[in-house]
Amino acid sequence: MSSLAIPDREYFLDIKRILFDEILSKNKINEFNNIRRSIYGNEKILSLLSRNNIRPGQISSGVSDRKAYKGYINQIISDFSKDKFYREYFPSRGNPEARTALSIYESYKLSTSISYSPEDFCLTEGSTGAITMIFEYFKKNYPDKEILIQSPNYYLYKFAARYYGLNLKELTPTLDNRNPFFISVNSLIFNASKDTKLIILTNPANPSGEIFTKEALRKLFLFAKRRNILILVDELFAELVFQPQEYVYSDQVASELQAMSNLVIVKGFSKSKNLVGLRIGYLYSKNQELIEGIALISQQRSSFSVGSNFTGLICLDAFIQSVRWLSLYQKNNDYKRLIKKVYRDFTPVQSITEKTYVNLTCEYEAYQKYFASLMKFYSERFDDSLTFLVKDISAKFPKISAFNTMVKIRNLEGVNSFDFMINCFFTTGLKTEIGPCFGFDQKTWDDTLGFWLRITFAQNKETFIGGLKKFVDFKKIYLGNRKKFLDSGLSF
Amino acid sequence: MEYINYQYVTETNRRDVSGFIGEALIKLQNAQRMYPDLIMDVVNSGNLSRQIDLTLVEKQGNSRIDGTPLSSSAGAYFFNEEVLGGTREKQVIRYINSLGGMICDWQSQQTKLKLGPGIGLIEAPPLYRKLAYMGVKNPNLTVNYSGPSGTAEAKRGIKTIMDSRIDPEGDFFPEDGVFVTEGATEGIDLFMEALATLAPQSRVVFLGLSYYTGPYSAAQKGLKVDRLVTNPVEINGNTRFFPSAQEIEKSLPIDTKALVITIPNNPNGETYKDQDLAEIIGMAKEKGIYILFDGIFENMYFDDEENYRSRILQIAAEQGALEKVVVVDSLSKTRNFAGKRLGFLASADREMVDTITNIVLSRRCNPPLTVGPLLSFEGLARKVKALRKNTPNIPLERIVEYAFGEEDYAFSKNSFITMFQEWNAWDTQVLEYYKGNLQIVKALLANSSSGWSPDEAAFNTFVRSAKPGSDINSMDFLAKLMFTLGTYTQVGPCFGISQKTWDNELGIWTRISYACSRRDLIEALTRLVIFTQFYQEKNFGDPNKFPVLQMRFDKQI
Repeated sequence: MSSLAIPDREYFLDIKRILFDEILSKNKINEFNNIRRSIYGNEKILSLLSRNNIRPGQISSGVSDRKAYKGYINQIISDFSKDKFYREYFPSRGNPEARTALSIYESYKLSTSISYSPEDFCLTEGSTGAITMIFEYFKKNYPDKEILIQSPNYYLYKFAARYYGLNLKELTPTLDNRNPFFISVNSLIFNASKDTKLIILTNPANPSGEIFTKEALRKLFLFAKRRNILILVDELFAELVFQPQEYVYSDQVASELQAMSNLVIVKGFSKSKNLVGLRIGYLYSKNQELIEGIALISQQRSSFSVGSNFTGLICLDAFIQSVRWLSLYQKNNDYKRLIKKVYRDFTPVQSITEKTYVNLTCEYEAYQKYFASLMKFYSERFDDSLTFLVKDISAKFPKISAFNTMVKIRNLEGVNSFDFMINCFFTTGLKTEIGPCFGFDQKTWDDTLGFWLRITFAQNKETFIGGLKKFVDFKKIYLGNRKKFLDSGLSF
Repeated sequence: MEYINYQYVTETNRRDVSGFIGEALIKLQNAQRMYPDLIMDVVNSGNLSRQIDLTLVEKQGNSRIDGTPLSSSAGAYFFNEEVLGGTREKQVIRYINSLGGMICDWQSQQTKLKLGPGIGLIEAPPLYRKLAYMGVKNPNLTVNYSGPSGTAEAKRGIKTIMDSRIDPEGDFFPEDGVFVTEGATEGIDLFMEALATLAPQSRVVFLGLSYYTGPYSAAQKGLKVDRLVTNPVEINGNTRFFPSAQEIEKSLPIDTKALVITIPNNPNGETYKDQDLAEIIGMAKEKGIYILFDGIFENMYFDDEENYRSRILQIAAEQGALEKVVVVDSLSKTRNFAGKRLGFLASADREMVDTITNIVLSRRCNPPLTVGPLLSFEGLARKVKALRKNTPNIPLERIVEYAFGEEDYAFSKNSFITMFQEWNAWDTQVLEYYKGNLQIVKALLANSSSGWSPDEAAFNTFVRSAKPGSDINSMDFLAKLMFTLGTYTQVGPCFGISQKTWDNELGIWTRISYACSRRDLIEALTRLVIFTQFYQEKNFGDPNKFPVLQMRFDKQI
């Protein structure tokens, strides 16, 4: 039986007053995601919740509560204590040593005839900083061209495109109830027009966790090369694939097809390293015109790239990921030999050469343990989400990558998804992110795609399962007592 | 350039500056015998000619140096940084190193030196390391996102930093009107983008000289850029470039929507008198013009009585015009934290705040979150310093108790007191050290410089090496100083105004940053003095006698 109580009418009247008089009337951007965030962060609403003993919680936040690898935190602290990397200005693309380390790591994936140079990289303020710099570049150089984006996707793409006044076209996903898929190269190619200059994909996809096959990527890059289109691949979650051998890196494919100038990759430390708050991101491309343009924007924004003061951390991670990549993809289990090889390759990187081989081996081993335990944790939480929502899910995605997935919730046809989402928060304190947070208008979701919930299965077991239970309980009482809840009459 | 620690600074301060000056003058005498020969060696080897030819080649195709709107905003600066400081630097140093054996004490010196380094070479107080650890060690600060302008803790810190400059007990800037930025540069860029949103294609007018960032960013946003500089006035031997309030009033173009003021100014450290500030603010209020106030060198006055407040903000608040002033600041200069990119912006203008919020949301979502403890300490420390000025007889413990109020901090009151004392002592010692270095600059350049700056604040000064009409091309002077003596500097045109005006009417001015070790400072000044003498006595800029770098930046604003 549900232990949830429906709050009284007065409570909802108070909430309604705040919603209309304070949030909607003052908010300049009355858009689904923006209003959602304003409601979740409104101090008066939070205080009302608190007075009714409702504690906020979340199951869709997009943020992991797992701690970062301790060795990385130690590296930062050690660099601070030695006064490294924070006193001087660095070039607008970022500290050259950090870019050298990244170029060595990312080059392992490429076919042997080509490699990255440090000049192909630019450090950015989180991966979001990278995305918006590419948009700013696009605005300056191709203001009348069109951008195609695989949707649903991270909300920022749509938000930033609107800010820069760019023509962003979202692609409606193909859905059938048993086997949905949000990503489709055929659809991207089919919908590209003569004005399309940029195509955006996240791989693994956020929020569904899907990944692109090698065949699909080949098809896309051949098309991009023929039509002179730039492909932006957001690989923020690339290291979090449960079966990493199945993941195909876009630059692997692009290098085989000599289409490197059609590709720009965006990455960051927020998700795979659980270091969201440091705002370390980077982008890289062999398209020199793009990289020069980005360096100019970086200089204009901040003169000297942020993230450079984490050079020690970036170099250490690049080293560890290099060894991991080689052992995974070259199926070489002798990691100690690989560490020696990578150590030699990292000769130009002082932050690595000043460490001993033994020290780096210990770091690698400790990281491997940390990462295995992290992925085990994500895997278990993914299973938890399906177990606890089993009766409520009508469509889901396979377990491919951490740490988000999206599920379609059954029996919510005809429900205003905005009202469901806010009433869930007002009643249970549970913050959710649902379909319209990730693209299209609410009508498309409510009338066509259905009610989809993002689940971030990266939270500690107790609160995560508690959150799922609250969601299930709320759905039951909401569907049985619709009139007792707030009817906003709003649709975005 | 060598980094120096706090211990070196305190030990140096114990010695009388006159001792250093005496040693420096002897060094200068010795160098008089050797360095001109070294310059001639470089000339006779053909290396100077090669370097100049290569520089001209590298200039071609560099859109920031010639022929585009970019070069009109800061061409000379980009030339200096990208060509001389970038591509040519290593080759020059390698060559000069190869000559080292010819000069008896050359090899003991660091070959490349900067006369105007943009960074302070004294390490920040160690307490900042502790505060940085607190930010990084707190797991909540590494695994969470926050609002676009920073965490509540960081914003509280910035608000306190800003409010305390007006009145430590007042409440002036709105809580959502403060932003963590990537250095002051991002603050400037955000302001320019906001202005371009609110008043597209309007005009921004820079007062006096300035660092390249502001005009560059404004031009990139499609704003019109202008600069108002007075016909330089020499008062008590010091040259001033700031236009007076009356001059601004008379010559301000009608479409002006913003004035930009850096006080104390970069490169020459000059400031405005209260009366001028009051008139400028009054005019801005009346005409609906924003003032972007770059306070990056504020609180580095030699008169410590000035270092707890901001006169421009106080006057704006008194006149009820605070919303017209947008402040940008950072810890890059005051705490030598340049690489950390710790900047902040504050505005009390609702329209400006909403516009900037929208930009930062679109641009990056969230700033770094680990800086909360550091910024909240900085705010509290400045508040306590200001409260102590106002109430000197109350014990520090009671003031701290009052300043903490009911708020929670990442550090206890006791540990704050310890850190505050360390912070205060660092400030005192570092300013004392800068004062000493400035005396050395004055002594070493006494016979060769013909123009000086007001020098009210650390850590740059601006001196005239050659009078106008000396037929010297600033860029040739700058480049040859680098090519022959490995000494890197920034001359007048790097800070705005056309090169023609500098060369013909203002003369050859050089920025000197004395936030470096005395050893480096003395060596760099020695090279400047000898090079300047050589240049003038030998007609080093005469193309009939020597290779000359014919570069001009005459379209600059």
